[in-house]
Amino acid sequence: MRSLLGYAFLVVALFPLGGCASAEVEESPSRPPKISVDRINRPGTLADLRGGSVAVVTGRPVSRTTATSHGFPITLTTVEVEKVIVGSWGKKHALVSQLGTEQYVSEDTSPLLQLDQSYLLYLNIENDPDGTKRTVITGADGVYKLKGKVYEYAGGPGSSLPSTIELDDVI
Amino acid sequence: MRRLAAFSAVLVVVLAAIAVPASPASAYNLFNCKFNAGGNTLKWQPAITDSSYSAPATNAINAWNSVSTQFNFTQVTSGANVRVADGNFGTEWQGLRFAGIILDTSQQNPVLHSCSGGTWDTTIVAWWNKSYTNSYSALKRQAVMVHELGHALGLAHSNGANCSDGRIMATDVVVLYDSCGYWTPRTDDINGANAIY
Repeated sequence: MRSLLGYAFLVVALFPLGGCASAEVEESPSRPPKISVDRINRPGTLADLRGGSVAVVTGRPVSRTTATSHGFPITLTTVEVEKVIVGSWGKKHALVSQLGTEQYVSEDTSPLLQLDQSYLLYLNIENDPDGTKRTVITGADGVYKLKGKVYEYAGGPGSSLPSTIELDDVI
Repeated sequence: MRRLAAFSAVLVVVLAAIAVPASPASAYNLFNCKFNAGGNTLKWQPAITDSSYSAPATNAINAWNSVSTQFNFTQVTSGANVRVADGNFGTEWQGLRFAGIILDTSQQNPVLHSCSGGTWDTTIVAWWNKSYTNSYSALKRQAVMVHELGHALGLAHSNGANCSDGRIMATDVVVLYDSCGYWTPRTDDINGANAIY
């Protein structure tokens, strides 16, 4: 009888395992909605990134705020520009716009810039039809985070861009 | 004792069935929002401005209708669950380049703004972005719309994007079309749709 009880416990205990086995299917009704966006023509090389950028800079995010663009939540991060590597960037700061917020994660694009980290950023300027200009990360992938002496890729998932680069690779 | 052994054998089989997923390669993901489909009949309406998109729209609908699912799209002139439309969204937005998108009727992200109790509460509009798709062949346009209709059905992007993964709901449908020749729902997409409806 004790064995049977043990088996019964095992069955109960293993039911959640069945759920875990198919955990790739996100079915939790309480899960905050994620932003899912289609992507084509992604930059595949550093040359692609550079070609699509007005400037490549290093810098540190110092503040963040959120907003909405065409019904999608976005995060605006103020980045203190430390060095302009390629192109021209006349200001000391860049207000970088990224899709998603901490609450509504954009799972297909670059994770949000984190405060007090050092980044290498490929920047581009976009023009809205209403004339608004915004600074974006080139191809939503052109971002590398400083780790030690190299910069590690910090763009969207599934990219073919190099996983680590040095500043000399950018020029 | 013999009864316990038999019970153990049965239990092992049951546990194996519980612990092993039906499809180990399953990679579809869900929005947790779907059409409120009475009798699983889904109503669709073309909202095409450029007639060269009419055939790809119908063919994309038919592509979903011709695979083994529990629902069927029927064309209507009003009250649609989903509209298929061609629009120009420009070449980039937030750094993104996209060939298609689904929006609600207020041009907003439906997942965040138009999902109540697990169902869409407005018509979903599945758009081509003509900035890119005007240069696509009819079949490539179909591939884009099959993907967008998958979103409208409630499928998010699936994991994996290699040809061997076999799914049209990967993030970059154009790569799947160009590299793999996909323009219809694949097994994993169909499994995902069948998990919803």
